[in-house]
Amino acid sequence: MINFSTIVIWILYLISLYIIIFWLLVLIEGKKTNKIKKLKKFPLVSILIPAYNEQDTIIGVLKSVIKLDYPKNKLEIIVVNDGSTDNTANLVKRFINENKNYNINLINQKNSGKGTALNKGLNVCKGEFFTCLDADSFIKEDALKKMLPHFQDEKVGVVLPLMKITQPKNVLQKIQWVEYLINLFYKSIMSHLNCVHVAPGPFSVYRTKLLRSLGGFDEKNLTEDLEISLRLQSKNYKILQLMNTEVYTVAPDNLKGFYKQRNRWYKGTLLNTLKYKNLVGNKKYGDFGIIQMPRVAISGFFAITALGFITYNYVLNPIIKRIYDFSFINFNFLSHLQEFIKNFNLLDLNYTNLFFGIISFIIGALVIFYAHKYTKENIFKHGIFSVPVYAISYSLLASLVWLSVFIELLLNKIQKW
Amino acid sequence: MVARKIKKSRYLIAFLLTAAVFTIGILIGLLINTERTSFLERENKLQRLDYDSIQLQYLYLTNTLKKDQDCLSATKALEKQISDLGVLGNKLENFIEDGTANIDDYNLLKREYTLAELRYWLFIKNIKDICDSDNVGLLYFYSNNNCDECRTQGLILGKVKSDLKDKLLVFSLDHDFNEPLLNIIKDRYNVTKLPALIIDDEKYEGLHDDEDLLRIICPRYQGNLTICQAYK
Repeated sequence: MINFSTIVIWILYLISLYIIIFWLLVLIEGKKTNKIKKLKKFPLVSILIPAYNEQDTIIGVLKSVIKLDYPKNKLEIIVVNDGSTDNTANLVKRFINENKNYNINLINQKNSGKGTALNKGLNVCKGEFFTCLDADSFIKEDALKKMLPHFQDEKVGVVLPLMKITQPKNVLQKIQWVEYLINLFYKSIMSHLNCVHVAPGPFSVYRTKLLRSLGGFDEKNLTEDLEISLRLQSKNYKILQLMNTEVYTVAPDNLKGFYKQRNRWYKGTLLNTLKYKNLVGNKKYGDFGIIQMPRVAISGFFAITALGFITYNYVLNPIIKRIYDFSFINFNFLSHLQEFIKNFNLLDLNYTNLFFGIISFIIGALVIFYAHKYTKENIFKHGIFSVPVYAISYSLLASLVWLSVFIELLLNKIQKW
Repeated sequence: MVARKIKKSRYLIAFLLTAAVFTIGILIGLLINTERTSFLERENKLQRLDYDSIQLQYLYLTNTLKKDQDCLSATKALEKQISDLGVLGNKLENFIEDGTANIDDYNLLKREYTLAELRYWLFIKNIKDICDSDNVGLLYFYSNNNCDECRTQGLILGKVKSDLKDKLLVFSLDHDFNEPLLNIIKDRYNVTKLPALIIDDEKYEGLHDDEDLLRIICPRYQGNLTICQAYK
C-alpha cells in the first residue's frame, strides 16, 4: 500500500536524485580552464597561526610554514597566543630566536576565541594575502606557489587547497577521511559552478584588502569560516577549490569530539543560512542562490526527515512487527524461511524498488570512485573497509547530530518563551 | 565581481534525466505488474483444471467398490491442491500490498481465488464419507485493514501448517472482500471479531497461538500424528 511515509521517502529520493544529477552534469561539462601563468613576482603573504594550548604541535606547524617553497622575506608569520596556559608562548619565543632570518611575530591576547585571534592578525598584518593555519594542521611546501597564481583572476576572493586528514588511525577517523575526500570532490564541482559555500579554516588564502573591506571575520559567529564565505558569495566573489595542493588537518578520534565539532558546524550552518536567507532562491545570485543555498538550507531538515522516515518504514516498524509475530511461534525462523524459499518466485521481488536501489548504488559508487580519483588517493589506502564502513554509517551519524541540533535549538526557543 | 549567470538548460536536463529515471522505475513496475497478473491468471486456470479433475476423481470413486488405493491418491492430490491454492492466495495479497498493482485486475483475480477457496472447502465437507480422509479443514477470516492480530494469526497458521503438513487444510478469506457467497458464510457463522477461525462448524474468534490451535485441531484426527501426541 502507498502510505504517507512511502510518499515522503519518494519525494526525498527524487530531490536527492535531481541534485546529484545536476552536479554530475556540471562535472561532465568540465571546467573552462583559464590559463594560469606562473608567478613573476612574489607578493607578501601573511600566515596567521591562532594557538590555544598547543605546546605539542605548535613547533611542527611553524616548521612546516618556514619550509614553504617561497621567498623568506615575502612571508609574514603571526602566532596569536589565545591566552594559552601551557608552554606555547615560550616555545614560540624560542623558535623565533632560533629563526631570526624569518619574519615571525607573537601576539598575546586574553583567551577570547578564534574569531578574535583572526581579526587581530588581520588588523596588524602587512601581506597582500592573508591565510590562517590551525596549530594542528600541516601544509605542503608547494602550497603558496600553486595557490597564489589563481589570484590573477580579480574576481577570485579565496583559494582553497585540498583539505585531507592526517594519518587516520581509528574507524571514526577513517570514516572522516572518506568523507573529506567526497566533500572535496563535491567542492571541486561547486567550484566550477562558483557555488562553494564554505572556505574551511586551514590554509584558505584570502585577499587581505578584500577581507578588511568586508569588515573582517564575524567574531561571535559559531562558524566564522562559513560566515565569511557566505558574505563573499553575497558580494559575488569567487571561492576557488584547487585540486593540486594539500593541507593536512586532524580529525576528532572519538565520538564525543566528533559530535562537538559537528554540532558546532551544523548549528553554524543553520544560523548562518538564516542570516543570509535573502540569498536562498534568489536569482540575482545565480546558481548559488537557486540551487546551492536552498540545498544548504534544507540539508539538516532533509537529513532528519530521511532518518526518521527510513528508520520507521524500513527498520523499526517491520522489526517490531516481526518480533511481536515471531514471539508467538518461539522465534522459529527456520520453518518460516523454508516455506519462503519453497514458495519463492522471481515475480515476488519488488523490481521498482530494486531498480531505484541499484541506481543509488551506482551513483554512490561513482561518487566514491571519482572522489578518490580527483583527490589522487587510493580507495584502499586505509584498508578495504573504510569505504564500506563510511557508506553504512556516515549518513546515520550525520543525521543523528542534525537531530540533536534541531532538538537543542527548539529547546532553547522554548526556554526563551 | 562575478556576473552571475544561470544556465537554464542544465536545470532542464537534470530535470529530464530525473524524470527519465523515475519513469523507467514506474515502467518496470507496470511491466512486472502485467507479468504478475498473467502469472496469476495462468495459475488460476490451472487450479480450475485441477479442481475439475479432482471432482471427477471423486465422482468415479463413488461408483467403485475397491477404493483404498485410489482414495489414498485422490486425497493426497486434493490436500496438495489446497495447499498450493493457499500459497497462491498469499502471493496475490503480497502483490496487492506491493503498491503498484492495478486494483481492478487484482480484484477479479481475488474473487476467483476466494471462490476457489470456498469451492474446495465445500467440496471436502461433502466428500468426507466417500473416502475416509483424515484431515481437518479450517476457514480463516482475516482483514488487511487495522488488524495487526490477523498478521500474527497468519504467521501462526503458517507454523502450524508446516507442522501438520497437508493434514491441515487452511482456507484463508479476506473478511472485507465483497463476494455474495462469502457474505452468506459470514452471516451463517456470525463472524464479528477478527481474526476468526471456523473448524468443523465451530467458531473461534480472536488470536490463537500454536498450542491453542493444536489443542483444538488434534482431537479431530482419527489417526496418530506425532506432533499431536501431547494434545489429544
